[in-house]
Amino acid sequence: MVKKRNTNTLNRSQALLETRRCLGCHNAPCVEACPARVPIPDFIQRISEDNLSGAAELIYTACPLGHICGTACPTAELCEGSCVLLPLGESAVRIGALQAYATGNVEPPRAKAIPAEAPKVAVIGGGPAGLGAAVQLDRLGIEAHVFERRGELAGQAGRVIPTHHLPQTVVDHDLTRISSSSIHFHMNADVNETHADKLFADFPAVILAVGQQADPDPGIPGAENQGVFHALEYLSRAREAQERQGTIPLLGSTVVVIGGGNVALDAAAVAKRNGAGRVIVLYRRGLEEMPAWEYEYIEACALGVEFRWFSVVDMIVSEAGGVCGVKIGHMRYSKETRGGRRWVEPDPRKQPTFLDCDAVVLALGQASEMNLLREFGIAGPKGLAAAEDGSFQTSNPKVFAAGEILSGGSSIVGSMASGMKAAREAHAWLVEQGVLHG
Amino acid sequence: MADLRVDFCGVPFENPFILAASPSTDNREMTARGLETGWAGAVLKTTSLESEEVSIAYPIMSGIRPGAGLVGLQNTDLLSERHIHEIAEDIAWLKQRLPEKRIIASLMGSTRSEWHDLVTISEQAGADMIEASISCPQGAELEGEQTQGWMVSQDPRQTEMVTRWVVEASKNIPVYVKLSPSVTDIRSIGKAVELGGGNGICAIDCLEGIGGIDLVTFSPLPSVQGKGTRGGYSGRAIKPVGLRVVADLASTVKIPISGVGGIYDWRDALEYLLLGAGTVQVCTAVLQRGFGMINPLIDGLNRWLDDHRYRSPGDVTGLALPHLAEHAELTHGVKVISRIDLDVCIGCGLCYRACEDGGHIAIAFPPDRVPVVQAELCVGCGLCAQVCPVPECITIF
Repeated sequence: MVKKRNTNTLNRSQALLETRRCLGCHNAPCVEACPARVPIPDFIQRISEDNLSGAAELIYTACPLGHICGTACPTAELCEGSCVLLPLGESAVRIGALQAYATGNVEPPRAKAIPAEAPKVAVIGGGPAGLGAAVQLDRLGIEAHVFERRGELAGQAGRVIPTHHLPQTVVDHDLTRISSSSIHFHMNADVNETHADKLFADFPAVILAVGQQADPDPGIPGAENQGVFHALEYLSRAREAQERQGTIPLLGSTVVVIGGGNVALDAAAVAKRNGAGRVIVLYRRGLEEMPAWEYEYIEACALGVEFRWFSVVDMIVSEAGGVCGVKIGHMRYSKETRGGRRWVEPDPRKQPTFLDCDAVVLALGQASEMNLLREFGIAGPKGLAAAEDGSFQTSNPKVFAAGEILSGGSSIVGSMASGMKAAREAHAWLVEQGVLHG
Repeated sequence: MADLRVDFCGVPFENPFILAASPSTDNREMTARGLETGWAGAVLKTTSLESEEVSIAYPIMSGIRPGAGLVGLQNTDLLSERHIHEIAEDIAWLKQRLPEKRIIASLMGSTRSEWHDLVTISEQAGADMIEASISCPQGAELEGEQTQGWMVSQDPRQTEMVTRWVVEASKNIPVYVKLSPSVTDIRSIGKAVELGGGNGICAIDCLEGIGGIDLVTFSPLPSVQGKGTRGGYSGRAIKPVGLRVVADLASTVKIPISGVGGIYDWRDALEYLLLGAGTVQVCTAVLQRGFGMINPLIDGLNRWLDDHRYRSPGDVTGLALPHLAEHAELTHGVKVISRIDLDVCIGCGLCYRACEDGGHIAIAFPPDRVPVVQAELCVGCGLCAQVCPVPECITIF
């Protein structure tokens, strides 16, 4: 007998039952809320009709990372957050779980034959944006060549998100499907300044989808000390250890996490789950301005992670080679608003305080690696690729950008959808240039 | 993917899915939009000569909807208020715009010469087929006959006679006859169509019903200013009636059948095909869900045919008929029992209550809320499986 309903994995009975809750709204708000515009009521209808492969096809057509997104999308922020059942006081239809059910229960198609003499486009980066771009290029009859610096695909989806949120089997399921296309994957292929020229000799267009890989300078004295970790690196090591069922590195007995994004909260949760006695998140604004998704915050709270609002670290203090604490400056909201968010300023009424800890995790966001942007001549403001608003074509017309390098931090589904759009735009441009026939 | 093309009475259709005569097909732009979404053909809303007075009293709809869904739809709609010459223009317009789609004229007359005029005008306008509507639940008049309160298709002699009138007027296009399920012996009516020379049969039209009663005004539903009337009952709830009628007809007549009645998804359509239908028509589900429902219909049928190695819908027509037996021919005495999948059971106790009060008192439901089937008491009636809210939790074998 089923006693709990807290898993995101549905069995057949649960899935069929859940499909009955969907009203099949016209111009459904859930679809509007999905960056990939997955036709949600349509695929739910097909599940209810026992047409799983038809449901999966609808999903994968809109969202080549369908199983990953069904499993790890922030659905409460996107599709489920707009479900019409919510204002009725009911819970939203479990769209993510249904998508994972439909996609997880169909076999990937067999490999396609590679068409001869297809035009080629290079995709730099094999994360969600790069994969979205490559799949879309492939569908448009273009030979996509993906250059991935690491030895595995899917980027942060396969490297950083904790496995209890996104099991490797789910990532592999979608990758198997994608690798059955005629896309060429070049693994461990680091495209850097020296290869850029050759790239343009081989490919009439390039899609840059490298994400944001650099750790920005935190500007905090003591950040270089032992016992200070970068959140992505920590999450990546933790995930590797989880996959090997090995021990996840214990950071310390009291861990301070600096930042208020999803990465900060993931790192805090992983540290807390893996033996840290206290985990304290320091964030410069209040809860209402914290960018992390609500469910990440709820999960962290449930694990016992503590939060200190309006707190910035002025200095990381070490003794005997290890971190022993942080000096905290206290902030308050200023009158200023930038980009729709309230700004903060030091609170003159409060003195700095000291917090004992033996490890610090920096989660202050990621920055672009600038070398390729400079080499392609497309370095724009805020360290992003230079492109006009709403366009994927950069200031170098042969270079299209997608995902975080174009628009900064995003979800997996957002980056993937961005990659697909960039591919369509690149295709249209190649047609316009006469390189391709429409 | 399978080849969904079918032949019905000698007319090729790109797939077996046809829009039935309904409000959806009483406006040419609307009908064109429906056809463009993928329907293979449309039966335009039943029309008549200008001499026939048609005046609809609104509202005309009343649903049976115990939950979020629509189980059945009661309507007091009539023929199209637009008459044959206007409909003929629609036929010509649609044929010119969508020549590959099949346009079927649904007609209703009361005398031989009326039927002749209706058929001739429709055929000249370019209709691909004629549907003779002698099954309207609101009844019809028939020259020189007593028809008050019943339909032509409730009488074999009248059915044969009218079929003859329609067939003799058609020069080149096939004629099929739409039948009502509200008869004592559908086989005799089917035979009458065949004897009258009809090229095919369409079944079933709506059942006759009363939608309900307004408990404040005592008016039947749908209520028009305090009064209601008998009307047609359609939708999901009538599928078993439609399937039975099509099966009875398919095992009686040789002419092809278009199955209608409660088709909501591809599985419903496939069931009609398996019991002998060559095409299917959909009305109520389209009224509820819109023309776009054709996409999952086509996709689902296509995949099922592929998965089962059939090349086309024609390959499966009638395959279930050999499995339809008389009760005496069923296998008796094989012990089956109810099996509850405790991995998905939610402990609601509905199976227990049903078995306690309507079965054989064979399910125990202890305080831990885990139901236990007592095999020695269970006869395998299957009631528990029907009341269980969890799909596929209870099976009988």
